[in-house]
Amino acid sequence: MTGTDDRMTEAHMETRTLGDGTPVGAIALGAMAFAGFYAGGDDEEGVRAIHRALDLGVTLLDTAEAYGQGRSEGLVGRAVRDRRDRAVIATKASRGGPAYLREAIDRSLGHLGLDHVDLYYLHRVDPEVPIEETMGAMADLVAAGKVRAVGLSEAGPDTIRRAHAVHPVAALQTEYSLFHRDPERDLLPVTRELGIAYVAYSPLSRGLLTGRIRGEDDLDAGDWRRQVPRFQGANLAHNVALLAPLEEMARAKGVSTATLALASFRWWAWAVRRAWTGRSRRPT
Amino acid sequence: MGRPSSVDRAVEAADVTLSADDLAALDAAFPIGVVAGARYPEAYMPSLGR
Repeated sequence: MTGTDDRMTEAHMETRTLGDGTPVGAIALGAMAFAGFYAGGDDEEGVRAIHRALDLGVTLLDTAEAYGQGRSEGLVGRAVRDRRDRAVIATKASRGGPAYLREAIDRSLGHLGLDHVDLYYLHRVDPEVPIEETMGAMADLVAAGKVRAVGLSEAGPDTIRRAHAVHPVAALQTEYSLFHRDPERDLLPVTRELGIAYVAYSPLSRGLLTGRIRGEDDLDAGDWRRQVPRFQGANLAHNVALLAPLEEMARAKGVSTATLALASFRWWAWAVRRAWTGRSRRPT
Repeated sequence: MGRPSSVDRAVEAADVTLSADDLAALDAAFPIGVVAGARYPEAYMPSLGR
């Protein structure tokens, strides 16, 4: 895929639509790794990755204030400074409530160097603040022009419904991969019912589905994943062994394990939709 | 997707074609609950899916 920039134009990638009607490339770029959660993080390489993604038709760039206390936001802002119109920028507030959100959005816009973001997520449902109150505050940010659309991350079905009744939820983002298919049970149905875009994070299970992590020694000493049970000891050995059929299928198709794991989503989404409607068109 | 090369591999996924048999094989290989160990440190789990 090197040297194919001319062929891989923006028109090439399929698009999806956020709940507010904003079109985005079907594959987004998550900017958490740029803040060094997994390894050191390299700002220059991060900017190059964002530029490469935009050249290939990715439009949705996803960051959060929590990713390195603004480091990731700063990197995304720097990368899009001369190409803002090609990007749909999403960031996230760490907590809920009107007072927190009023200050958090201004901090995030400062890190990004922007006057508004296209999508503003509540990063985690705040147990201290009723979701209705937080969504009311989000609606105020929309009215103030600082935020175009509102999203939720890692919210449960009841919270999603309560939130949506106050202000439209344009996107729900949760973890979803071959190694975490739980959203198929309760989250994909509610987003479909309410017209909310679904955004999967960690679609490669934080690297497990690349097949390049075979043991704990493959992770740096400071790597956050060492604290995660599925990356530890016997769990990790069990999970690596699960990859065999995926790796075999990837070899047969001549693509990387990661590419196949990501590709499976698009087809999965089709299969799930077909199961619901009985007549969805196959992906093209 | 921290590296430019990772971006290429991810975008390439849009061009991969899977058959119904492929999907069935993946569905069988990765049922819900097949993975060992939580996806976040245990102490953090209550803040998810709330």
